[in-house]
Amino acid sequence: MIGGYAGKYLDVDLSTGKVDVRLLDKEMVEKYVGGGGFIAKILWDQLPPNADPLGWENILIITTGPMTATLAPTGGSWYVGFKSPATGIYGEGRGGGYFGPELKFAGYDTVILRGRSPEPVYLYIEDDKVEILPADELWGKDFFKTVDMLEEKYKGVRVLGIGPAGENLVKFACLMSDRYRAAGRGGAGAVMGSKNLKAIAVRGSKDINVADKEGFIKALKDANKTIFEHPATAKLLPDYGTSSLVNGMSAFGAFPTRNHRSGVFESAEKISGETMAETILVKTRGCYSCNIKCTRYTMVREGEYAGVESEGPEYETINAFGARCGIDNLEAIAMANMNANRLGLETISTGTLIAFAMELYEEGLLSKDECNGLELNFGNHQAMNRLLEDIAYRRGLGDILAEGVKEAAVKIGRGSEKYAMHVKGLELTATEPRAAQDSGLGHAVASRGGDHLRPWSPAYTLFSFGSEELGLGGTPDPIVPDDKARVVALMQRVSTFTDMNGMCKFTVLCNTLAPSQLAHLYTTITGISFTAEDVMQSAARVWNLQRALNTIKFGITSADDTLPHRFLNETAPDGPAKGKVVELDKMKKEYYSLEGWDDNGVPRRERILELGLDFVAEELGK
Amino acid sequence: MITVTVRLMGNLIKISGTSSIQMRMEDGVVIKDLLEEIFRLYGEEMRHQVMDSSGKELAPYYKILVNGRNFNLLLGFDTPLQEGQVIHIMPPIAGG
Repeated sequence: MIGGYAGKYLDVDLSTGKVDVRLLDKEMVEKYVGGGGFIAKILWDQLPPNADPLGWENILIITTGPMTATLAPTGGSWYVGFKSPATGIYGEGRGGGYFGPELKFAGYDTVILRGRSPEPVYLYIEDDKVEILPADELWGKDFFKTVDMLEEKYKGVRVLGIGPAGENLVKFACLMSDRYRAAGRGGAGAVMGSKNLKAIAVRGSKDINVADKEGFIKALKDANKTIFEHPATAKLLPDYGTSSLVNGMSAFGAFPTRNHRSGVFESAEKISGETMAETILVKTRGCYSCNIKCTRYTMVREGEYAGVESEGPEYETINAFGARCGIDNLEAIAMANMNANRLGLETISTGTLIAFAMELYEEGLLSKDECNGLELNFGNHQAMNRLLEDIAYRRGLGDILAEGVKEAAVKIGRGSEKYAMHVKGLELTATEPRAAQDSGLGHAVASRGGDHLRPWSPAYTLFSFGSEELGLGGTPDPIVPDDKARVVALMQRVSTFTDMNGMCKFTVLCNTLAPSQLAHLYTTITGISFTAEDVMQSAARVWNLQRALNTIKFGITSADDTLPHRFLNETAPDGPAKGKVVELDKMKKEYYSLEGWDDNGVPRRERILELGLDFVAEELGK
Repeated sequence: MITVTVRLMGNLIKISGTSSIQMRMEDGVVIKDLLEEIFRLYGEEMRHQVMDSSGKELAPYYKILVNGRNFNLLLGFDTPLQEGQVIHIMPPIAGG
């Protein structure tokens, strides 16, 4: 028995109500590890390439990794995979909290959800008991209420589910778990809603075995020592959470402001982690087996948003509802964050959509009447919070924005495309790429579209968190394209592996844990001997399988590996990158060469074979 | 004389009690002169946070930005200051 895995998965057909329990395949484990690896392989094998993302034939995969539910640092991750309704390509997300471990305690590494239920339902899992039950009373409820109702019915249950945004098929609706944890950029919530599935409630009583207990304790001590000594994980994330970035990113000119017009927000300090610590912060929290505890629990005590309480807002959310919308009111951002969690809206995309609409309004491309009667100027936080709800319930302009920024620009027309900040249909994130050229490349080539986490390379290029094992040292220059392809490719590997193994990316985001430490943890937990090179190679296999899905099955080409008009044609107006555009072509050419991809961005046959993906090679050139 | 703005972050705000300082300096000063003036104003606690144990290098992962550019990409401690520049003294920060 391989350690770290529950060893079984559920295959649920919501159309027929049939539930199968299957054994996890040994080759699946050895070659794809878990998380994004399992997702890519299942989608490759089982998803019809032309499947309508919101049709019955799409597959929604909830999965974990071998470190989920173990004592590995931050071993609380669960993942979701699907064909994205926002992009039409590979979709994946990662969530923390406690749902993932509970699923494994119930005896399952993965749940595959197929078909479409004729009526709203939820899935209840309690060890060997698996039931599809009517969700009439839950449908229409926000996620917080859904959790309350299921927790009242089943004591000690962990809940994953959707809010009204998912039910209404908003294309950037996410999955929520444990009340405040979110996953599923690119519309996992809409896919779940399209299947008439409101929630999964799980509780379990089983154990997860570790292959080499003594070895694991040694690996754990070594990893924890590094985590407790590295400034990112020992001090910064615990003290200020991700919001510690706000002031620093703006200082580097990398804090997207007013729909990415600029990277410098003049009021960054008002919405910074430092200000949060002095005003709305109540306490910090952590997910399962977390020794970092970056989560902020906040409450607004006075003013027009008094009473708002939630986890967060995180850095990305602060930027999306703050600087991106020209808003410097932290309480208003907390309100938007809480409402997004409640309604099941993914905050990065939602903020991008509102910022897009604000710029169109200011440019005279949308009238007040077309904006649901709102004066949608940058900085209008009341309008921002109104529009957020209109998106979730698809009211007026909200119905158009609910399609995602790419499709919304098509519907609105009038030249609005050049203000639409996305890559492949996935809205951009909180790094201004003209001030961090590597981030431009990373967003352009990432497997799920405009993604900042594969990798978050500014940790090195702006904040100088290097890695001896990866050969990243010194002070890189973020505003020139030189060497950025190598940086992105290397850091992508480590991020990808962390999205396979069940840990949180915050253990590697600032190059805290090295590949050799990840290999040591993996080896002792599973009993499968892994080196640092194996970590990099297995991540490369999964990354290339995701790329093969996108290029061979979903039709992505090099032309899609691009950035919005603004970054390639308009120079940065201020900050250290003033006068710069993103020099994407040079970086992309180098990156393709490093990855072993041809000029059209398709993995070459020899690269595919070297990675053991023979079944992909068979599809090349068909 | 020139005037520059010094911006402080994180724990440095707690030590100084402020996040932004306007500083009047002699023409021709460089970053190390500015730092010495800041340490004179805010005491040894500030020095011990910003500098390493040798007193000659920045503490690990600390950064100084001159108009948003890491001073290591300029002339380091010898980078000359000019009228109107914004100097960030940045403790380690992380997120994503």
